[in-house]
Amino acid sequence: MTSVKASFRLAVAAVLGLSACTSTPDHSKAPPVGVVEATGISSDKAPNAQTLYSMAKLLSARGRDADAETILAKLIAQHPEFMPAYSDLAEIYVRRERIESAVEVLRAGIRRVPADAVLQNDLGMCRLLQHRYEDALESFTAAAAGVPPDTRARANMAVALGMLGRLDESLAVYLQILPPADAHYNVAVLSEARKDAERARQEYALAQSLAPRVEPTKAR
Amino acid sequence: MKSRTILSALLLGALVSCKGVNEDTEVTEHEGPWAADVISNASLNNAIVSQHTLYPYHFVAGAGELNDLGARDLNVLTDHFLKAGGDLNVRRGGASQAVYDARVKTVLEKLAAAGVQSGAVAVKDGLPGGEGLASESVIVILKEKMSKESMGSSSGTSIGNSTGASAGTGSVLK
Repeated sequence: MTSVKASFRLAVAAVLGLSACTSTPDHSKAPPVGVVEATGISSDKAPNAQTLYSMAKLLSARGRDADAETILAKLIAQHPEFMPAYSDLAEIYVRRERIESAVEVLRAGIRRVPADAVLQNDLGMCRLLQHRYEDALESFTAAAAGVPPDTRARANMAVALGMLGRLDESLAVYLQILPPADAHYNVAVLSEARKDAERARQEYALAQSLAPRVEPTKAR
Repeated sequence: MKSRTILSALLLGALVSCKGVNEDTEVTEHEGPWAADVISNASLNNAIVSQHTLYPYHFVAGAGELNDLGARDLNVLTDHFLKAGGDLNVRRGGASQAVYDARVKTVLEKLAAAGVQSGAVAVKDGLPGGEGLASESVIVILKEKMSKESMGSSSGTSIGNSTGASAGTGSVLK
């Protein structure tokens, strides 16, 4: 019985210890005793970065991009270290066809964390949309070397290389991440986009010979 | 007694896991890779070793330096070369002779700095897994130049006028 009592006391201590360390209030910023803040009860519990971010996500999911944009802009201003906000705000800008605004937001995030692969990849996508393939390649290359590691950045790199006419390099990158038939098929599509009919024909033929059961529609 | 020990350990663990007061100032980064991404990265590294080739996109445009991706991929290759030797292709692409030479020099220096054994790697401008192309002779000259430099000789060998006497062998890292 004594040991149960002791255990209970320790459990209470553990719970108290946990609750004490999660909410470490900064008393230096608290108003003096007896002073009531004009803004009311909610002002001493300003929403943290995660709350604002969740709110923005919710609004965005409901199609209220304008409201989500306002919250994300506020979030970045108040918590510039909260990186996911940059990519989400950029995404909204792209949806609203404000590519240059998206580029600016992403650049601001990249200035803070240059190795952020998500932001670099998003910036590359914006540059692709602007048909600025050299810039896109630079961003995708940084994304492929960044953190978290993501092979999708290499696939995007291959697109940029292909659109620059560097088809052999594009194929090499695709071969690092895709089966050979798919790699050749993608290069065929890129060749077509560049109006290189001969190369497209060769690549489609190669893709078909490597995976004859999966006939690329464009190859016919 | 046992349960008390367990609870004490829990209490200590809980306190240790507490974050500091300034946790709000820490950078909240994007989430790390999923397990599937880790697997695909391992597969990617295998593909890089299999290609054993550095392309122009691995280098800073118009310069001899590797970019971050080039450094990353060369690290993957270095790990491989430390265990087993082999060929390393450095594709010239549209680079000028001077830039290409600078790139090869950079790669050779990085490999040497990483401790890849002398003679373990042959560097050439070849296709992935294929035979070396004509410009591999350029690297042979460069190798000679580097050897001279390492011996303290200041006389520069002109690059790019090789007769290709060593064609087919590639340059051996010194």
